[in-house]
Amino acid sequence: MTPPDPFPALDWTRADFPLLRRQIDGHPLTHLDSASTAPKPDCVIEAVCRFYRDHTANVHRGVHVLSEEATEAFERAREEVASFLNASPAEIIFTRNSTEGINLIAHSLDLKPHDEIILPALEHHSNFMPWRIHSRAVPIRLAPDGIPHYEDLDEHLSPQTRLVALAHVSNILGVVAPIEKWIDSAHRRGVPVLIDASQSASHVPLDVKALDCDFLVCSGHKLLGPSGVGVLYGKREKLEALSLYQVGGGMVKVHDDHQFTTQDLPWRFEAGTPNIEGVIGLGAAVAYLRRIGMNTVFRHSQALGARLVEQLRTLPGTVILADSAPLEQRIGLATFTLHAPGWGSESVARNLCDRHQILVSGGYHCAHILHHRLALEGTVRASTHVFNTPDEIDRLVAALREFTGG
Amino acid sequence: MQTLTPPPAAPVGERYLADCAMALDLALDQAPFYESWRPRDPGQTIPVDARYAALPVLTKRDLRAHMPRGFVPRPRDFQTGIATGEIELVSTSGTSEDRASIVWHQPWWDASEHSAASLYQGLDRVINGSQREAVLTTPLCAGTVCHIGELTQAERTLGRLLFLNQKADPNHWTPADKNRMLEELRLFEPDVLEADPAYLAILARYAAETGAPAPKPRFISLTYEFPSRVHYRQIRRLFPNTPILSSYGSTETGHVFTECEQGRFHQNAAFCRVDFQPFRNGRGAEHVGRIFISILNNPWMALVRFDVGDLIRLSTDPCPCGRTRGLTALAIEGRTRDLTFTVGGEAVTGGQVDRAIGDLEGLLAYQVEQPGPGTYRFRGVVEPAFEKQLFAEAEARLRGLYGDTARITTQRESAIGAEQSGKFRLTRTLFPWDTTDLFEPKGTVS
Repeated sequence: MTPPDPFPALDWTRADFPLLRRQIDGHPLTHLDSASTAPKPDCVIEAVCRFYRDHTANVHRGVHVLSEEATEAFERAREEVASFLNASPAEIIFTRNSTEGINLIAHSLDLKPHDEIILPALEHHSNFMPWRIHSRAVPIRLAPDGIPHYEDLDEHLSPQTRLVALAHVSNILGVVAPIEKWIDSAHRRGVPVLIDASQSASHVPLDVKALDCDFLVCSGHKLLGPSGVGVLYGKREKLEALSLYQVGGGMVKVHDDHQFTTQDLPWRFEAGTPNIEGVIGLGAAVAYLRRIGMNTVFRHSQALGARLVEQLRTLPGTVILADSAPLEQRIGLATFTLHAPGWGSESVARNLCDRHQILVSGGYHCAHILHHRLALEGTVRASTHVFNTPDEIDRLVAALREFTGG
Repeated sequence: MQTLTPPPAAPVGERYLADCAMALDLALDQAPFYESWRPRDPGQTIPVDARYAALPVLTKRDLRAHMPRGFVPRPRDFQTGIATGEIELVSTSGTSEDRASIVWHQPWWDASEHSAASLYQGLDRVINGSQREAVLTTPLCAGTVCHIGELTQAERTLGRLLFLNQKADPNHWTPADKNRMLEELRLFEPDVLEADPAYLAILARYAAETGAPAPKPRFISLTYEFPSRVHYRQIRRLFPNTPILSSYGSTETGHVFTECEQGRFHQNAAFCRVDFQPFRNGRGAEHVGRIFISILNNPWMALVRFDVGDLIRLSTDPCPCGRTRGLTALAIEGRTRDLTFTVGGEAVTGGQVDRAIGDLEGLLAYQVEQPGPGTYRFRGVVEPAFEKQLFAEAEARLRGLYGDTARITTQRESAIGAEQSGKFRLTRTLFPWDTTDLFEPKGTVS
């Protein structure tokens, strides 16, 4: 891991995000909720608008100029995403979001009820529920501060294990998981690995070839891109081995009274008219992050994460999840509870907005099992992106001090 | 737990003015928010009504920016109150720029409710602190939004209170939801059914259509949002003999007005002061204006001249019921933000629109939108048998209200959805406007 210094100032990016000019009650907002969904830079908004304005047409089927332009922009976005992940464009399937990518795998692996999927118990509903529906989810236990006992993986791997699935960065902990070790352990037993990169993709450089993961999913809306578009990466041979997911137009080559043949990858898994403008916007978002440089983005995120945790530790009685993790393993995300009797996590988040125009998340963050196991009745989560500054972290903590004193 | 009871009977006005003076002095002297207001106070030698009139208006934005500590009078301490369980922090519903959090003191609220109940004959004997009460409103108001899924009836029953609803928009109720709520109402046998009229109208219509037996509450109190004639008609159909009254208040202010047996609204003067600011001449209907509420006798929160965002129509003659204490309103007119405007630019309240079209036979729900000056869209959910004549009649009546040159379109809807807050808007403009110059700056009536 790279140490968080020197801090790369990315303040200049703020001008690219029109949402940051929005005011609440006459005051500028402090946006610390990108883990929920990130604001969009002008280039993404413009890419989406340009498609509507200049190119609206379906992809892959029209022969007129607009359709050709739309198809070109759509496939250019696939190339952009593939380069972002160091994958081949044929290995990039566009989905609605991470959730759909995981559901696609859960469906198309043809799992049986006795098949086992190993995952940390802190996983988001999206990386938990599909495995429960199609097979048997085997959760890895958690330490008291929420960090999974990653070292337990080997003892859970069994002949029934069909897949290992884990978040690269948990949406609760904000800590980079030791996915290389898990991939290595699983592969030594012949078990494929799915990485949920929903939180990590816009903070941590990703190289699916170097990682050697079998599947990886992420969502556009957390990557500064539009909502309703996501990415499923799969090794070509793994994707080819999957059974069909949705069928319909776009994924079929020939269809007659007796048979049909499907398109090649990646279109085989993209039935129906896709979210064309969403994909194009996602391409613009990824290009934006690549222009900044993902190493720079990561160092910025690490530095803000470290500052966030160090500052939160100064609040008396505050409990930070994954507080035992080394600071350099964190991205700009921390989840915590305050010692503030009478204040629930949602009322804290609401008050931060109403009183200080600071936007954070409060509640269970789609990780009920983690909260249940740690006996937490909700938590507050602050999360950063490229446009956030250390001053904003300080502003948050100063506001939180009103709840805790000290 | 500390209990508060309504003050004993006093000469009309004298006790009220003393309470008003005490609440104002407490706020100005001891609540941090009002420090900047002190120079505006003419002082205790001046009549209390004039002192209030000289002060600014408290807005929801102020509440958001300074709650809780700004409004807790010293030497009380918010954290201590929370720790001892005397108070809670409660959020109102609504979107960011409409909602607020407030300091909730249950004994004060209960006493305010009991006092307000005395303004309807017989109701105060029922609302005595031990009444069984069923609540039907948005789950945001009822506090049943949670992350642990559907709650059982036992989990929704807090002592003598049963919270019925678990969905943010009653249009999404399934038959099973409605059957469950009706069954729970029958089994719970509440003394009072406290309901959002839009929600109860939908439930009542379903019960009437399916022939479900009607629950038998002793009273129905309509609150949470403006009760339309459309709502009343559907509710009355299921509850033909149950006393139905409208109770006006808010989470911030407690119970402010209660509809009496004569259909007029009387101020709950033991627990709140109401200042009335009429429309400027020619900008809105006569005797209609917005209200600023100051709460009285609440040891934990000082609210002075709070613009609650609603409008009333003042009564100009005594109520036949004989009650004279505080203001009497002929009607609650709806929210200020729901004002629409005639072709000539005069403000039209939700109440005016409702009086114009709310009694249309076959109308089940409606919304009047004003996309721009002089243009209006009537959206109606109607019983099929009445559809043809209803839209023509609605258009004619709205033209009578907004002006002969009004451009009115009508649109049949299968449902009209609730806002994010879970509440409905009967009227709304789709263009920006503000209240500048709309109300008489010096015309406050107390």
